[in-house]
Amino acid sequence: MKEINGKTFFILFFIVLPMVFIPSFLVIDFYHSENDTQAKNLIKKLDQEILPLLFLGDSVVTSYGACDSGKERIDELIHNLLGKEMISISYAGYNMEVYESYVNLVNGRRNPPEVVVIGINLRTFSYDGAIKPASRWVTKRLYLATLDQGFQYLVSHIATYIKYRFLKAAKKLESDFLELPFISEGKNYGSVKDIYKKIEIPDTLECTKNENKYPAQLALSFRYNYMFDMDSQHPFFKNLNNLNTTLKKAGSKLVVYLTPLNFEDGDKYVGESFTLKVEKNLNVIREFLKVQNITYLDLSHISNKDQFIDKKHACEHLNFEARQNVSLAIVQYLDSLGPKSAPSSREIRSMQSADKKQ
Amino acid sequence: MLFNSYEFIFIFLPITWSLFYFASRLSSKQLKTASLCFASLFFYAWWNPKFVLFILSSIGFNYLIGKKILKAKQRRLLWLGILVNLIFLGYFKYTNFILDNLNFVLNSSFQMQKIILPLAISFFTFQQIAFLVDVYQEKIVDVTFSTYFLFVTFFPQLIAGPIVHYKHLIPQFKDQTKFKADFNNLSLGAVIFVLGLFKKVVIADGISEYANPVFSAAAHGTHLDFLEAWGGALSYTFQLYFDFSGYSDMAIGLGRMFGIKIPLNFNSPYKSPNIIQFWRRWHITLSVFLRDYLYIPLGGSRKGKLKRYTNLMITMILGGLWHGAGWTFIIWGSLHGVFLVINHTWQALLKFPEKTWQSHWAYIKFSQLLTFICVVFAWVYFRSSDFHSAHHMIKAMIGLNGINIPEDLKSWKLITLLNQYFAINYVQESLFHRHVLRWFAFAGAICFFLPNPSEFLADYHPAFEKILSSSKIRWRFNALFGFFITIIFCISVIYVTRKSEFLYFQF
Repeated sequence: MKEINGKTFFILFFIVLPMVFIPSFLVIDFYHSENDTQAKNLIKKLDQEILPLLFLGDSVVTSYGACDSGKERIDELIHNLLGKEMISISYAGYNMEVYESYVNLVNGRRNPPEVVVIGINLRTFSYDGAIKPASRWVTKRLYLATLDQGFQYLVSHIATYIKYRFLKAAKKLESDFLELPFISEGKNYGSVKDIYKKIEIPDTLECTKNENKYPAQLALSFRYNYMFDMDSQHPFFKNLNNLNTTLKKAGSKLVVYLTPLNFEDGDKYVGESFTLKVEKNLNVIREFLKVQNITYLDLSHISNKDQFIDKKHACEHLNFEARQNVSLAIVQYLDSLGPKSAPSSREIRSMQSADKKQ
Repeated sequence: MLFNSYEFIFIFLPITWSLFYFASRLSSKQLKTASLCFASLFFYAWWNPKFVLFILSSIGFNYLIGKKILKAKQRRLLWLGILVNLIFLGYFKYTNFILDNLNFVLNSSFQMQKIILPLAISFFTFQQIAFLVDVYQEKIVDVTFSTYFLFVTFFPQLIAGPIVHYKHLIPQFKDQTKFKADFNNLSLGAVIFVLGLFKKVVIADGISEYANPVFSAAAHGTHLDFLEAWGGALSYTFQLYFDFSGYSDMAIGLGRMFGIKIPLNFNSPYKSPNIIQFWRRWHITLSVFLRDYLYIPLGGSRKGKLKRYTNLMITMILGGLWHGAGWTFIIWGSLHGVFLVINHTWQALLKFPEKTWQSHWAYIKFSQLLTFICVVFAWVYFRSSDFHSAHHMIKAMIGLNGINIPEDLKSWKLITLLNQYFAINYVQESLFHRHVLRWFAFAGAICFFLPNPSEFLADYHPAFEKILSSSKIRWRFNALFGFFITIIFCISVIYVTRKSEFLYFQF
């Protein structure tokens, strides 16, 4: 093969061809790194046959503890109890923004899902769940929008992708986020970075009862995760409203449930102000759901403190028993869907304990 | 600024080369030198501008001492120069280590603030000590400040080597027919740079995802089994090679873009049939430095076997300590010292009478395998944060923690077959991921079977030394290889986002 001189070689193979190849590789990289088989399966399914249930959730659905008697996730338990076909798209850190992107995939499909169930976890409205750049899922949402609206969407938003994937935009936002002051009940508790340092717990707290060793860390952790100041202007309500509208247009029924929260430990470490503040935040959500006429199931009070795992993170991950309770409550509710109103979480808890006694 | 960053590839490098190109067009030696000096200083300052003053002082001091030695060959001046260099290196690199050990031995609690290590101090200190010795030994007879300044700061080799000697660079800086911007050199340099970039950002950074969790788990005392430990140790073995040799290739490529041939630093070390060969192929410029400026002055092999082996051990222990202020590095150096002593003893035994089976392919392959295994075990100490985690890894690697098979390998035919004869313990969660096997196959094929970049480009003499290659795979500046390098370049550019520092920056 003929040798090419240095100048031509450099211009051709290091400048001209890369100008064609790099954008092509960028697109390949985009589809490869963001590839979401669950989303693709969902589209395929909706185009082919009727889907009785689409389930969207976060780590509450997927988590299980090292000492759990069973490892089944909430969506698996629901599937077993319901005996109907369902698709679950649940992943740690998913929130209302991501759910909206998934729900958009229902747009214009031949068979929209009959029911869409979404778990609302109060913590996803927090600093970590809603403001932290990593929780914004920018490139994932771009990918889902591309699946929905086609390749031209990627072309028109390629700058966003390059910015987040290649130009440290995400890192910059991350460092800005760490400097944000954490405000709870009007009081400044220091920057997010400081909070992270103060809530660090060296133990795993897995399978142990030694969380009592870290009361200060857990108190601040509960405050940071749940006692943030929140009102009806929270951007997630817009996402919830949008997805509700989309589903209404598609003819799908939206069912929302409020995930169980660990009020007992919250009160123990923070004090009674915990329940007061968390209830206040939950009421903002409840009020929105009522105003929008969205059917919801309130499971926020159905679990006791011993049914929560991953205690080091002061979170709402549930043990097997609690996951079973949640799944049962959701299935019972889905079965009972109709004109009658949804029971409150306290009512469900008393019903379940009555069942156990019997 | 890292070589594997967009700001370096798409901004710094094109601007620097363009400035150099215009200086070359004007045939101005001063402008060429000045453009590179300025660019190099800017490159160094990018990390931490406050250390610029330190490197400038170091250059100024060593230049003045070198000049004085040139005028009056005084041994005390040489010692003064070496001592001052070592004091600074010792202060920045070893103070905390010495204090920690003193506190441990004396049960005291001397404390100092954490000293920040100036970037590249280990490299430019050694480089300048070699310069002073060369001046004293009259290997250098003339030196000007601008060329000396560029010799130390020349950005392709400034941060992590190769450790260049005055004789490598200065004659090239002076040769105006070679030290110029030229498109043939630019293309050749770009090819070598891209091969190095690919080694770093695709292979080394890709495989690091399997090494880091294992060593981190070992440091936290997590139970590791046989497969997990070997997975981590082998991943690190490949990661380190592709990381550092990738960096060295990039340095050679960058040098070549400016018409400068930089010495070779790696020559397929994992193909070595023994440890002696390994050290002639791994971090070659450091080995040569330690040989010329430590081992030989200590007496080398001239005073009998015992003295020779003692000198070898001292050299390797100090070599280990050069890599980092920690006992794990000392153990790593000592292990290699012991390997070398055993290797020399074995070679002496084989010489009389000469054994014919030494050239048998099976013996050579076995030797390569044995050498590789020794190197892998030694890297465990090099990588581990402390003795405890290193021993934890070694224990698991020799099977004392049992052998478990990850569930996701259950369906493999080999595992099914083994299961018929042995009771296999399956585990659901394992740090040994099946994808790592693909990486081992890919990295192993490159390490053991393919020519390295210097052999691949041997016909164009990319590095300072001429490499003879018997490989049939040889680079040509034609369309086929052009497409190949474009693809490698584009993939690497995409992978640059997984930006990580070079492992050797910490040394």
